[in-house]
Amino acid sequence: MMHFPSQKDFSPNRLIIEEPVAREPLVNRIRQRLPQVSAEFVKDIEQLRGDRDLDDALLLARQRGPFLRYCPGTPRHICCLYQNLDVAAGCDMNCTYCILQGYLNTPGKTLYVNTGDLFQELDKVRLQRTDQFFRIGTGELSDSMTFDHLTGFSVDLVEYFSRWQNAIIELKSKNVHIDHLAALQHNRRTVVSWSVNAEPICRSEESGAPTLTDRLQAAAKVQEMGYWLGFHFDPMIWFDGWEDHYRETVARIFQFARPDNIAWISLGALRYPAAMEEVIRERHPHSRIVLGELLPGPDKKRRYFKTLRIELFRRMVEWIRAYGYDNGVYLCMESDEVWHKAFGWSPGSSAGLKKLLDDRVRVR
Amino acid sequence: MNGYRFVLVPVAEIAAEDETFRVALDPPEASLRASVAAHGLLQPLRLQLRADGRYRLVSGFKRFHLVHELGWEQVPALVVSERQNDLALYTSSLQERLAAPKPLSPLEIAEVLSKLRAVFALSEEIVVRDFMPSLGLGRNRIWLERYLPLSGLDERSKTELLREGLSLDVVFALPALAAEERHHLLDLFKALRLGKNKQSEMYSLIRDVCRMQRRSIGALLQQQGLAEILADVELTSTQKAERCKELLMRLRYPHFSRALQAFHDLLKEAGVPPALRISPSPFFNSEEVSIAFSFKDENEFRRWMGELQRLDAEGVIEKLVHLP
Repeated sequence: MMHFPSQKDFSPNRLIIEEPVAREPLVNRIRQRLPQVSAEFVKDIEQLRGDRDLDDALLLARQRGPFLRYCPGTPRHICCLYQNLDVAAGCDMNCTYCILQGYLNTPGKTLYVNTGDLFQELDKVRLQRTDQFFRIGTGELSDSMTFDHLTGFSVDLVEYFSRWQNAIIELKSKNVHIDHLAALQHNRRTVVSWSVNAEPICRSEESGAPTLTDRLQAAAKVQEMGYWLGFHFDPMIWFDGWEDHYRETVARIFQFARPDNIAWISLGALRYPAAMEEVIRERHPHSRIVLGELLPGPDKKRRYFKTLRIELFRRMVEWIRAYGYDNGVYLCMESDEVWHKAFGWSPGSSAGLKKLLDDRVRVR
Repeated sequence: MNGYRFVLVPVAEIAAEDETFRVALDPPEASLRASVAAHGLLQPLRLQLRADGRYRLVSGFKRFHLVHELGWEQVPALVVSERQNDLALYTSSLQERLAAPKPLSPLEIAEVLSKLRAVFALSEEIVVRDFMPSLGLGRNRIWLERYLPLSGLDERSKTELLREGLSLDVVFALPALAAEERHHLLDLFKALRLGKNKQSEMYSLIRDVCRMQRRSIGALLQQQGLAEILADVELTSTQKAERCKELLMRLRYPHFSRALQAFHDLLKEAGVPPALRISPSPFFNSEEVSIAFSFKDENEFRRWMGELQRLDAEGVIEKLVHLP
């Protein structure tokens, strides 16, 4: 057992199960790991809307739509054409900037437990589109590993993807549940990645998540297990002293990770839909992130003024390149202009960026 | 009339301090004052006899105020039964007020909700379900959370809340401010005569700049620039409001404001006539610059085209495209 002092083990006070999925194997597994919580059954979790006591509840439901869908992207921006596998919605770490707090229709923390349907859907895609490479992740609507101590579901995913040459699964997390990854035959078809930030931001805006040190130590352990690593500086936040602190985080990454084992490092500046600003102000009145110079973008989301974003990215690229790491650094949802001004070049299109990232983890 | 007695009640026997059933909080309107002075009370007060032998007002607080002011000794009143339930009486008083053409002010709504909860001991659920809709609010607890704190404000702020024209964004923000801060803000809005939208806009700027600079509203308004604008007797309130907003925008969005200023300075230095409208993309989101002009004949068209060619030849267009 690896011990991380700041590890978060979400422990629900309610376990609410949709009747149609009550006999799913994953439900049994979760119930066995939560013997102290008695289950409540509902026909449809939609009927919980308005229930104000769901903050610490875990909802087990059926994914009604497809599990796999393209990242929505932003018009006129370069997107990496990532595909999200929606196995959960909601997270327990309560980061101030989290898009999920203003984004999700489903109340509480929901795990979609009809995993038979999920693997069937993946099989279909795998068999039908053999010429395509897939980068797939579970960290869009939730944290990929924060519920793993209850579900162990990452094990199923790692093992499934170990047999699929044309795809890679990314487990993106801030948590440090990694024990269960140790004994797996992953065939380097899994990237285990951490969302990282400047230390003061980790403390003030991600106070419900494990410390940066623990995240990086977990990354080092996972690297020893032979997995690819990934790091996501997203959202980067402009604050007094950002340069020193982000440079420091970059330096610490390269103390723990070998450049040749880092699949990618993404950079994304703070952004959110306009309506989320009030949500942040209400839920996190002490957070200062809404005081940034955030202005409406072409997609109506609030983003830092362009020159600030360029400066954030330009300096980061400079610091990261100093460690001999270059090709795997990319921007999340930025324009060709910003790419050019920050990197000195641009992948030119979403397809160009996809190819660049696919090539980094393709089986050669 | 079932349950009512119509009587003349000595004014001195009315316990004016008992405001259990009071809904309207604003002072009597001039028209009511004139009507009572000229014609007396056309509608009697509604009263209920208390255990101590004095009467309490059920409705007609403004009328009673005027009658008292005019020095009447007796007043015509409908006296309701002592057995009448307090909540039923309050509800009828509320309905009477709601039937008036003037909508309830935010403070009046707050006081109604506060009484329903504190005086009549109704649960949140009942207040939300049975009273919110008639107050023009959705059946949502959030409204209780927003309105209730208003009833705890200081008297000066409450008086301001009775006047029409305050933005609800601003109203709901007031309880979180210290009394002095509230007064600065309300005084500013009154002095600048801002409409609701402009109040919201300016409040957002003030709130954020204060947090950014870690200073109070009072200190911000004393800051060089703002204090001068507000003290300038040559400026109209509209001009003051515009200049305050410009200054606050520069403080709130310094990089964007500088870029915009640089763009306009470049146009000015190049001698671009105002009729040739050259603008950056919104918030400089893209590198695109738009140019608009109108013309009535080919000569005017050629003149504008010549002007654009001049700007291009002088390198102004290139500079504009690359700003910021």
